Amino acid sequence: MNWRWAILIVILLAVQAISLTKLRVYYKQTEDIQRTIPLPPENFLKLIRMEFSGLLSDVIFIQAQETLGNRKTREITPEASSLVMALIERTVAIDPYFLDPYYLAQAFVWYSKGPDEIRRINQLLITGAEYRTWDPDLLFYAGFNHYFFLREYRRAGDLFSQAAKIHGGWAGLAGLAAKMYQRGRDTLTGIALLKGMLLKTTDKEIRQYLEARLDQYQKMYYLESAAKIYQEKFLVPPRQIEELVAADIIPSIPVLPKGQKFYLDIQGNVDIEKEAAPKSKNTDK
Amino acid sequence: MNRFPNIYHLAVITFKEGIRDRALIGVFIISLVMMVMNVAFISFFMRDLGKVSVDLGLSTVSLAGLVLVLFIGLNLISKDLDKKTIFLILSRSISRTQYLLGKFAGLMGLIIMSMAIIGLISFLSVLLIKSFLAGVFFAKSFSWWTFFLAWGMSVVSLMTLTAVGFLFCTLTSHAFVAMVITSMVYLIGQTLPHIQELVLARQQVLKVSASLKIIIQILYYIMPNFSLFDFKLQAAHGLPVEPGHILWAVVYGLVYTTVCLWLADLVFKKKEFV
Repeated sequence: MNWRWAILIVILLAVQAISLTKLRVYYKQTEDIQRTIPLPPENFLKLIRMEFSGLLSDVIFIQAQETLGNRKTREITPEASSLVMALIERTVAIDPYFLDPYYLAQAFVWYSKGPDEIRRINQLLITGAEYRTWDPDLLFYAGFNHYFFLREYRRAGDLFSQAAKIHGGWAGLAGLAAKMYQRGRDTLTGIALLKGMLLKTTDKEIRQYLEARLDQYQKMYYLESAAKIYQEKFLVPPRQIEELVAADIIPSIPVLPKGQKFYLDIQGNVDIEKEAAPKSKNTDK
Repeated sequence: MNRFPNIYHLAVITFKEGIRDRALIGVFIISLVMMVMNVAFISFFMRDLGKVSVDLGLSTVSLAGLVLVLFIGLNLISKDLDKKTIFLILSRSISRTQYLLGKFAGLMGLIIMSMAIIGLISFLSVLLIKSFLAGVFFAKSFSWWTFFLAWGMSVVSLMTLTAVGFLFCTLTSHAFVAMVITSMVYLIGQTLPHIQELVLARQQVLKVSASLKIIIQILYYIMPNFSLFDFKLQAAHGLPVEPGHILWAVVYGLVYTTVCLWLADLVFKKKEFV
């Protein structure tokens, strides 16, 4: 009798396996249809979350990751892209303190199709920073996006400076903010930020770093002002920094502590040579 | 004179009766499975692993408590009414008020004990993750104090829900009907604050008539606001909690419980058993 039961079980298992394989095709079809169905609005999710907002946000976030990970090609279709963004937005609507969706949103910037999508992500990051007041990362990401993708230097400077002011934030953010302001032709704001940061900083190493940056941007501002005078005087911008001395506008070109030199880039902005001077010290020896 | 011994004995009997319920074992097993799952669940996330583990741990505690109150707790009261065993109890020198208080105390003992066990399992799963698996991914401000506060407030929330359940048990005399109504009250109590926010928002999302606004305002004050007891988000993210928030939530819970028990007593005293 027992072997009959065994055969029956084997047959049943085989039938189950076949039906599962057949059903998989239908499941894939319904999955594609499900992706096109609009998501419930944020307010509805807030309503049904009850006391399980944390858990609900976790589950929605897994869906966002799944959508991103399940794509058939390396490219993301516009439908999948908007679905991932919508899922991320819903996750943070339910739990705005949750870090992972902001991380995913920032990673998603590389797949974004244009400035509008980047601005949408940046808005999400800035809103997140309003909740995660202790975390400089979100403002840093938003600042980076404004600088790297949108070329909006002053806005990037604002965001970096906000991040720098967060307690426990990376001191280099203040230098980065000053750099952005300088690129956005607003060096004075960068100088004001560094001065403000210096007033509040007691750590010796950070003070040294900020003082070095302050010195650098004060010299840059000095050269920018001189370049402006040059342009007013000769009605053309200077092509080389040495022209400022030759035209008797400044007595000499300021020097930086590590022997780095100032120069004028193609757009006429004052910048610092990336090659450091220590090499020449070696040759001196 | 024997008021307190009577209540105590009834509480002990109710507690023992509750422990014998097989559904309780089911609740514990599900909680245990959820806690083991916690370790696997966090692997789906990138950074906020501490938050996710606390979410799942405390949500399991709340969910198990909810099942406990709705499916085991309310049954313990209605069983006496359904099976007419209440005649045996009330024929002794036990007043109806003592009966209600004894049952409530016994049930609360059962809930607190179960919540302590489930809370301990939850604590151990989060501790395991924090100590060995993902300690660096916990919020810097994470504190066990907020974790246990969230657990404690879940108990206060369940106490309020149990009192609401008691009221409906005395009103309906049927466990199932009482459970359905209590569940509805729980759902309303969880969603009403958000509905009120939506309706009274300065920038109107929904077009709502003035009369409906008034009804929602009235309901807001009548229905229990269970969202006040929810501290899970604070525990998960290590957010600060105002002492006033805790104090007023506890006061609110105690007052609501007292009022519900008092109303239940009023109804119960006038109830005729046939």
